[in-house]
Amino acid sequence: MLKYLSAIVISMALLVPAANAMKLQDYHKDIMTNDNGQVECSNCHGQSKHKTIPKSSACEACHGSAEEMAELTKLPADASPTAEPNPHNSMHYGTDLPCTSCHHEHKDSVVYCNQCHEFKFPKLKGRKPLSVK
Amino acid sequence: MTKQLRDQVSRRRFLKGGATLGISGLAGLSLSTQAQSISAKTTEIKFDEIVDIIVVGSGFAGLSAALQAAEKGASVMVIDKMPVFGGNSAINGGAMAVADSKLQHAKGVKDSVTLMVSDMFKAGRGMNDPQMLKLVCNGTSESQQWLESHGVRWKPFLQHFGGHSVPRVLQTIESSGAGIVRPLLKAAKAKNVALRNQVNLVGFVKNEQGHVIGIEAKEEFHFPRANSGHKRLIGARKGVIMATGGFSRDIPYRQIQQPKLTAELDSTNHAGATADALKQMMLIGANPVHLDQIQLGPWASPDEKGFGTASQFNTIATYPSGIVVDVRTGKRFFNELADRKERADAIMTRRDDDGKPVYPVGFTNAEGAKKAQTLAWGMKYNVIQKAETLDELAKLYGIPADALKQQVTDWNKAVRAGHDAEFGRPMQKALVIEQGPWYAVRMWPKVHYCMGGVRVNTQSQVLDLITDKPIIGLFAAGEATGGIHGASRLGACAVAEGVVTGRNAGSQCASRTSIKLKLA
Repeated sequence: MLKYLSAIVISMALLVPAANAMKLQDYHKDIMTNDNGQVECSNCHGQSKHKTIPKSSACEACHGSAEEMAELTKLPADASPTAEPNPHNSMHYGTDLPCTSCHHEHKDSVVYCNQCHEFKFPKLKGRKPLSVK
Repeated sequence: MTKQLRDQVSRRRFLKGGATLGISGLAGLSLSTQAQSISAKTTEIKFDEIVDIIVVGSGFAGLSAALQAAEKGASVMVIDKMPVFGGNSAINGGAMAVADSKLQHAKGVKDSVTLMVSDMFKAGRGMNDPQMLKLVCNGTSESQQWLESHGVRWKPFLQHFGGHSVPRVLQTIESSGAGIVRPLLKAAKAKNVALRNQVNLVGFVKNEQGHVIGIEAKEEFHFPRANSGHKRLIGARKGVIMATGGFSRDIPYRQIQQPKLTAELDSTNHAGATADALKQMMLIGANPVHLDQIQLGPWASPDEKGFGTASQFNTIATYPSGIVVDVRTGKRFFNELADRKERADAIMTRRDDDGKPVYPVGFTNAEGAKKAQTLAWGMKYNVIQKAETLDELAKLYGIPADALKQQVTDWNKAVRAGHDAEFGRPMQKALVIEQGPWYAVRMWPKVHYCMGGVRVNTQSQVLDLITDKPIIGLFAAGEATGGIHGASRLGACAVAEGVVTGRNAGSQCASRTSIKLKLA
């Protein structure tokens, strides 16, 4: 019994620093860190011990709804026909694509559209530097 | 962390308040790991949620089935394993073949269901299921109007796609299947269809008579993480409709059917086009037909992913108005207007001594490319390249310049003579290409469509492998079914098939008598 208990205690002790050692996007470091200097995983992941990919509602709590986000990245009326499209409102999916399809916190972000397209979206933060083709 | 953020987070958590239900009522059930399906007495199974009809998949077939069933009064849930609805349909070209359409009447084009059937039968090398083929062609005109009634808008002209004997192709104004998927989603929502994404089918639930009465599924599933999500049992009083598409992106499975379709070949499909659902249907007795009939798109480019910009450019410019050459010789090597299979096979013969692809180059001039909507996009991403002269074009792709110039001269002679002695290409629409600028693209086929799938009857019921009788409660529609297209599908016939068979499945399933199921 004691063996089991100590195993649990040790693994819990290991778990917290492990979580804090995870890569976090620079632009989220401040707001996600509490007064003790520890990352508040629950901000995005909730209280569940088993961490899963957060729902869009976690992002929307700070950033506003998908529609509001789409409005922020709307193209100007005089945009060229081959201007990079609005990443938050596509002809294929409207505003339905979950945030985490592109925006990643613990690894580089990606462009979901680029499974087919070649969009550059130079303002997307937190990903590998763009290669110049 | 700001106080505001804390408040929002905790409020959100409160609102969600422990609503997660575990998988329930499994006592007395037998779960075979191999068969993945659950069999038990109807009275013993307790479901987490119950609806009349569960539709698996949310492309043309799935959404048409769901909306049609809801219009008949059924309560419907659509599940899709991906983070967004629409599957391949949301990224498809939005072209639908319609026999005897209003637009054909207006433009004086004589067409009939019989003619469309014979065109598809010819392309299918006679392998098509005649009953299902008739059902699809017969339903196109009415289904097109049904789509319009739900807000789908078509371009005001007809198109003539390869293999069709008359112009019968309508295309959404968006040039995308999204022009069908988005209105159908909106209509389905308005009809209170429950739309659930990131829900992955794990297996079927059957009762003591072997009837399908529900599914086991994983919610909050994150494709392709097999271990993500948590299991739930969802009951279906009237049945389960499988609108789960094909397996073009399932490299191991497609290679089992066609060993040549290796990872070297990209696909025009979305990442979720796997064989998982097909396998589940086979495990409960569905009969797989024509699984090795897998179509390659000969109009794609290796310089971009998926369908991209080159496919449309080649379809409307290079193939009808230009030529394709081997970069090592500068010479043509196939009939650029042959059917999809012939062209794809020809391109894939271009390899070096180590068997590595030597991508051929297709090109035309400004006159030939004038209808190409994707030209500017293709050039922006260097998929389509522009050259002022043939010398410059030859240099761009490492083609021997003299040979290339000779080929263009020879081609123009053939166009003027109206006869392609080398490869027998139809020359009615061929163009003399003399003046630059030239527009060119490298080509290599991509896996596009699975003609094969499960065998169904005209009530869209999935038929049992042994008895050839319906597996009660199990329906299928769209690309998930096999046999309609035979050996080769004609362009614009997948949208027709999806919408018509989807609606048929929805209607047939909705007309079934409900069975009583118990909630947990």
